[in-house]
Amino acid sequence: MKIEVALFATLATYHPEGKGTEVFSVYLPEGAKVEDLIEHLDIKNNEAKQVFVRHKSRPVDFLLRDGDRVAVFPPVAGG
Amino acid sequence: MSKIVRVNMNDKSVKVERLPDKYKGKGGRWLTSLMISDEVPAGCHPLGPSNKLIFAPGIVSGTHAPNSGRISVGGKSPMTGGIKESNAGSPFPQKLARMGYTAIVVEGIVEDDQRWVLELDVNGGKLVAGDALKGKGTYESAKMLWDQYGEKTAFCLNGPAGEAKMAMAGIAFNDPEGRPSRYSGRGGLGAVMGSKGLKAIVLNDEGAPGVTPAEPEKFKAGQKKLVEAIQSHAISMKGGGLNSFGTAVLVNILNEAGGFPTNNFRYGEFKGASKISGEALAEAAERRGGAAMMGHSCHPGCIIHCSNVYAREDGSEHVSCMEYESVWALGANCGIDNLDHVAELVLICNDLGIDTIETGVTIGVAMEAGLANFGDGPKAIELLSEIGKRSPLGHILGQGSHLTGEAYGVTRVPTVKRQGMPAYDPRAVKGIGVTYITSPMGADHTAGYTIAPEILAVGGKVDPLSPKDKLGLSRAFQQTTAFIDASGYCLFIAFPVIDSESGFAGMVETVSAMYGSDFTGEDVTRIGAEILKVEREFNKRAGIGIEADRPPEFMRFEKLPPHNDVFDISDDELDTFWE
Repeated sequence: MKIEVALFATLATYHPEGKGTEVFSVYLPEGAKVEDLIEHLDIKNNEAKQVFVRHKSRPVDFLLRDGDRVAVFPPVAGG
Repeated sequence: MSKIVRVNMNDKSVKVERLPDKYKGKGGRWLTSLMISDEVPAGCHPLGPSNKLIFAPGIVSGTHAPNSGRISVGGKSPMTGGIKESNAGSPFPQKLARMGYTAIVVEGIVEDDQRWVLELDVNGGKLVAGDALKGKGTYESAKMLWDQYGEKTAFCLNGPAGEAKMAMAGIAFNDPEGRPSRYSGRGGLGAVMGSKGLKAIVLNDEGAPGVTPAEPEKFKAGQKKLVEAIQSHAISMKGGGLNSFGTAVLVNILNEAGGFPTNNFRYGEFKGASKISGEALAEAAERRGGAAMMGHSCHPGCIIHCSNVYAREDGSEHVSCMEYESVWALGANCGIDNLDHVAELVLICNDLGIDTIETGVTIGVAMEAGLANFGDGPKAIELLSEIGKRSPLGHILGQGSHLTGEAYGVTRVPTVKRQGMPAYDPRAVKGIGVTYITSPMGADHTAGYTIAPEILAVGGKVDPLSPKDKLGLSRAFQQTTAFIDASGYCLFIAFPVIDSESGFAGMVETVSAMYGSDFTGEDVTRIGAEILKVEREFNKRAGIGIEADRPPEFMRFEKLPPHNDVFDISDDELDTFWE
């Protein structure tokens, strides 16, 4: 299945084509979870603080669906 | 010795007095709110002779504690009609504290249309004619002040909007390079300063005795813990999110969470979010070079460095600083996704001396009223210029979003207690909604930043969409925040501190060591609660009781995409907030 991925802030360096925060596609087998995507992207686990899918922060065992847009964040804050 | 400076605008006298015992050991918001409550009649006109404007550095300001260059400015707000504390980071409070001054109290009012500058040094101060600065933008005024008094001085000033007594006027403090860019922005305190005919305050700290904690060893130990907590937390460390991308690093995460107010709080998601994000700012800084920089600091001793300088295409300086709230207010909230347009809007705000949040919310309401189309940056710039021209329209806009909504019959006006909401929609992030609604300050995110656990997973993690337990969450944040606002620490130390017991202890120990107070963690919430009580009681006397603790009505029935949720914490429940 096809997943759209965006990597933000310091994680942008993990973009496979070096294109920063630009959205890119990843193909994963059916039944893949958030943690599988993180592993696929080779992001060290403690670097991905939050993963948003369908506008909510999701746990690592959250089941992805075909066409999902996934946004991955390191620890960020401001205000 | 702790001293206060009393500046009387009626007879132009400047007197240095001993700090009354009841105020000893207090600073920042604690002191400004107590003094306003004690000395200002709650029913007074905010722009009349009975209101006072009080400047107070925080308790640890002027020491070597990290991130401690904060000043609180207090008064009765022309925006909300209630008590106001608005704080800023600048070298100004550090110098003021080192000079031995615990507060500057400006009282009375000028009867004519003259402008005055308060010159203050270690021996006292005097008011001198400031008519040369009359009507001048803050950038020109700042340059004139440093040309005249030298670059070692610190200053604060108001702009043309403050002189015109517009309710969205703030007070600008200098950054380390002399830009008038660090703001006590919220609540219209620039208009109070304008009503008093005071254009600027200049500090010459030559010969300043400095600040010595009562318990230097305890202070030092606390300072070390705090520095370690800040430098080791991923958010505040060098190369971390705040340092690399500035506060606008929040743009994308709020947008993904569906809580990023767009087109005057019509949507929770903005298509152009990534174009105005902290990542886009960092990318532009890298590409344009020249004057551009990320990792700028607003005062010496800051070890986070979240400020920035934005450059034009040719590398020349455009403006500092592009904050999260500013790029949201003047960007997404107006549908504008062009960073250069946003930068121009921020520059105009700074030069006129107006609050970027209130300005963005006001332009959003004006766009709703049909004065411009959402997304039209050049037209937004044109609207802002009306404020500078002091046209009738400019005076309406200059009074802020609430009045602009009333003037044009707009019902989607995102305010609480007449103050425009910041960059988080209460329908998608319920706890911050409780803060906006219940804070004595009006809609103010900094008053109780529940975004930390609701969106950022800092200090725990809670569901932003759930209305459950949000009263207690907001209350705890408001109490801790009131203490931090009194301490003189930048609120951003809260991110590492709520995740680190040692960092929290360091914060408490340094504040405690200043006057040998023996504070514990429990005193943080106790003192915070005391400050809030004083503020609430002032508001009650001013006619602003719990019946004003309400969300704007449209948020009760208008669903916010993408979650399609409303603000569903009932009025009855909100009424129990302070019980």
